[in-house]
Amino acid sequence: MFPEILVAIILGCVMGVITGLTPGLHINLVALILFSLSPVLLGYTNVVAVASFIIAMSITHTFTDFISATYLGAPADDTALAVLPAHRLLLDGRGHEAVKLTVIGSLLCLILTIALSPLLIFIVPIIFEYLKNYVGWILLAVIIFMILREEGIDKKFWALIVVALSGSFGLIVFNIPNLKDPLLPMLSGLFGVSVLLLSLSQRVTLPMQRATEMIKIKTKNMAKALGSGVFSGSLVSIFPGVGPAQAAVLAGQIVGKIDTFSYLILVGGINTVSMVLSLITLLTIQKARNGSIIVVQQLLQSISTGMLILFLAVALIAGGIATFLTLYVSKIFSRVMNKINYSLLSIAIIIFIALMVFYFSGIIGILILLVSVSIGLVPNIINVSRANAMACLIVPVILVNVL
Amino acid sequence: MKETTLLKIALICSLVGLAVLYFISTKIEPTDFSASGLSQNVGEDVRLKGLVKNIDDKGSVVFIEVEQQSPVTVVLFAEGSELKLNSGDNIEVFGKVQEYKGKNEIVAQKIMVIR
Repeated sequence: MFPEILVAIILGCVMGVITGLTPGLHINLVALILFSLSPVLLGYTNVVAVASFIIAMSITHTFTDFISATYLGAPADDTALAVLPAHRLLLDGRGHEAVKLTVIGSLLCLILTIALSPLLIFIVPIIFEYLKNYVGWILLAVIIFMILREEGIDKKFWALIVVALSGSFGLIVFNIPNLKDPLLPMLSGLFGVSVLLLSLSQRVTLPMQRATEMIKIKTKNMAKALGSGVFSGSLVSIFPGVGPAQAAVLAGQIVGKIDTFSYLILVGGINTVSMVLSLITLLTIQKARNGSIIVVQQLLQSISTGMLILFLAVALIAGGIATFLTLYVSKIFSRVMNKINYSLLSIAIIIFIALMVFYFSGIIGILILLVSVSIGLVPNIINVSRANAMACLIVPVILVNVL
Repeated sequence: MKETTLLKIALICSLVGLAVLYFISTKIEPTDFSASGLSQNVGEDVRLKGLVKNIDDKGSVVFIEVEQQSPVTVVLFAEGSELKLNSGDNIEVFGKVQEYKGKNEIVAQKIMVIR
């Protein structure tokens, strides 16, 4: 079984790079295709190897998807809040540093979560039982706190308007019947295309990208970011409806004002933690909160403690490989960025995102993209935090849990 | 933090993961079934591959006879199970060996049809 699992991990890591770099190609889709092919695959290999492939792919994806968020401004639900700080660093010639910070977050949070797993196995069921009825109220408190954190009464008012606009928008989009992949047009518009349009209107030119060897981060800030990453990533895997995006907003409120570097470490860690913890919740509360881990659950029905240790080892190996791959690919992107016209690249990316949206969500997706771009421009015009636009994902969860 | 430090941590992670994976994969791998193994390994997890010879559906429990040198009975507690099996299907069974009325059988934890 050992050689088969090793091959599965390597193939999973390669697939994780492909899904991470391609906006719109989600790991859940690949995992589902694998599941439908499992009767054929099991003729050649075993179910543990197939599950290991999915886990290695999912872990690698949580590392590599920050490359497209940073260099292409194409966000997914877990990278949306990283786009702005990462884009700022890109415009300062430090795109590779932005990616490296998210990799630090992903790798160190992965190690921390695995180290804490013996404790988490006991704690998770207790927290789940205690807090499961209060998710909506906690998120409501977060969103109120986000508005109140804006300085001055004017900004508070406009933050409320942004929350109301994007919250209603989210409710409408999630209620459109038969809409495939609503997150792609919504988040690409709010956090990707709108940022690229602003860069275009300000005639931003990309400075020479440099790949620095050293990043200075205060140990205290790093510890704060990693702790919040593990905590908020845990919420994603424990509570239904809470995704990486909501967790990132919550974590941002918990840690208060932190520097860009620590924030990127935090956001980088959340999705990796949630992926690892999904494996633990599969054992402890028999629930998987993550699409690809649900496929693992379907394949295996239930997992034993021995199997959990095996999958944590798979995650650790994949995390190690993903670190090398992400930094390598990021350096390639960094070099390519030096040779191309950024305005032309931005236009090409906007067209590419529009084509992806049309392919996955049809003409209604294009309409959603247009509305989300318009809403995405508002925070910049009135100078409030763009994180308020995350209400598009938080408000529907609040309503489902509170009403 | 230096990039080389990050890469060293990643390398250590992979090596530790590999060591754990190697150790645990030898411990949890279900033994491939053999006729003699069935009689010797009561209580152990086994894996069995073979063709379905006969199915006796009693409602909440299904007895599946799997072709081997001497046919093996696989017991499936079918409550909530959506598995649809036919004679001649090639299946892979993961389960525990159990002794019942002097005979050994496999209580299935998971059955998959292989095409």
